[in-house]
Amino acid sequence: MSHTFSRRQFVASAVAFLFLPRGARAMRSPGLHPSPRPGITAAKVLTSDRLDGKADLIDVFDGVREIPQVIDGIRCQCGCATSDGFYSLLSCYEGDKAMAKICHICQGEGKLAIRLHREGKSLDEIRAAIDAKFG
Amino acid sequence: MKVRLLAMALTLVTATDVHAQIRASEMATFTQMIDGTKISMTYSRPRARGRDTLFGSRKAVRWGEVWTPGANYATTFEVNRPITLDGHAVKAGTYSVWMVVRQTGTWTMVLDPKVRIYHMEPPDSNATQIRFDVKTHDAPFLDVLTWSMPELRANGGMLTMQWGRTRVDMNLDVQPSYALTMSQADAEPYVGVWEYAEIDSGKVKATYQFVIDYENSTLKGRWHTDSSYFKHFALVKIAPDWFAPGVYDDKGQVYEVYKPELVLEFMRENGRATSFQARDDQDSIVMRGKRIK
Repeated sequence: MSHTFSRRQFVASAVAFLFLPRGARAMRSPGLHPSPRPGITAAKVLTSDRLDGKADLIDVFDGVREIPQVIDGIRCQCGCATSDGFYSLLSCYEGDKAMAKICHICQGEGKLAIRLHREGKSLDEIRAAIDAKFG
Repeated sequence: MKVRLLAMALTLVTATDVHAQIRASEMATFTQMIDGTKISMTYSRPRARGRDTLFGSRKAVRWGEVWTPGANYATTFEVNRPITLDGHAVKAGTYSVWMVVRQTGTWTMVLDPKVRIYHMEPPDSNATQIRFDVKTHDAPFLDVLTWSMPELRANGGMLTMQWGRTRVDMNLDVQPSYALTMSQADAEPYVGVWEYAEIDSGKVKATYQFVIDYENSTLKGRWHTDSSYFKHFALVKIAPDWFAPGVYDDKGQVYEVYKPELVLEFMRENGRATSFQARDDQDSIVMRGKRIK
């Protein structure tokens, strides 16, 4: 079966691409883990004063803040990965609407990634574990 | 200018009418997930409307007709991963659905990769189609044509079309995301008797026994629990040394793999598993175990 792009489809795709956040245009394919963005920081990860004093949440957000270059290389499996502005699991921990404040999958993936990183596992090994447990 | 305004007004009226139109065969979508495979059917649903005979009738479906089991535009069947239907491979994609209806013998099920075909223009038989025979069954009268999956398994189910007193069943199998079986050599390091303690909020509770054996090429676990749900289960390998419990139904079929809620992570010494910890979906340790035999 061959597919031809109509002019309208082409224009729509080009417009959609241009309006994607810059980071989200990086190497990314549906279902695959993203490549960590060079120079990524945890500057947007919520701090404890914005987590309503919930100790469990503070621990995981703090853990994520320590390894943004790892968390940014993981695709979240909770279904948020297709949302606007989403790049990686790190996105779940950023901003006032951080999904990880309420989503157990985002939290569980973050906790697993933090533990495995502390155990010396590589990003690929962490991705494989996330996929095995949450995929 | 007047002509342009009139055209715009007509466009608006038409659009509103389409949105609210009453159809003899209303549109429906049916979607079923099975182990990550999404199966969807979109179709218009004809009603019997007092017609007692639907097949072999000039008022509905004639014998020998290539008929879309629906109405208006051909029924579509969509899968996001490869499946088999009655043992016939179906690649991921969207297909129009047709049936060659016959008075005697089997009918022919046809999946054609060309979609958006009006029911009056059935496709000719061609090499891109998936075709296979299906049996019809007598069934209690059903007024509205219905596609459904009345039976589900962990790795598939029964896809059914029913209209009037006729029903067609097809066995649908998905590609399982896990393997229940493993070689004896792979299973051997885990087989034995274990002792484990449940851990609640970091506190160790009483210890119990846990037995892992190898039966019918499957690694199986039995542990102390008052819940029949969890008494006996398959250990489904999800990663090296990581297993999730696969819970059996009364027919001995696994119907749920319990992850991410409970994953057993085994540790080895000299190639043999000697201890494990079970973690929940928050990566908290909820059990610790060690081999005793």
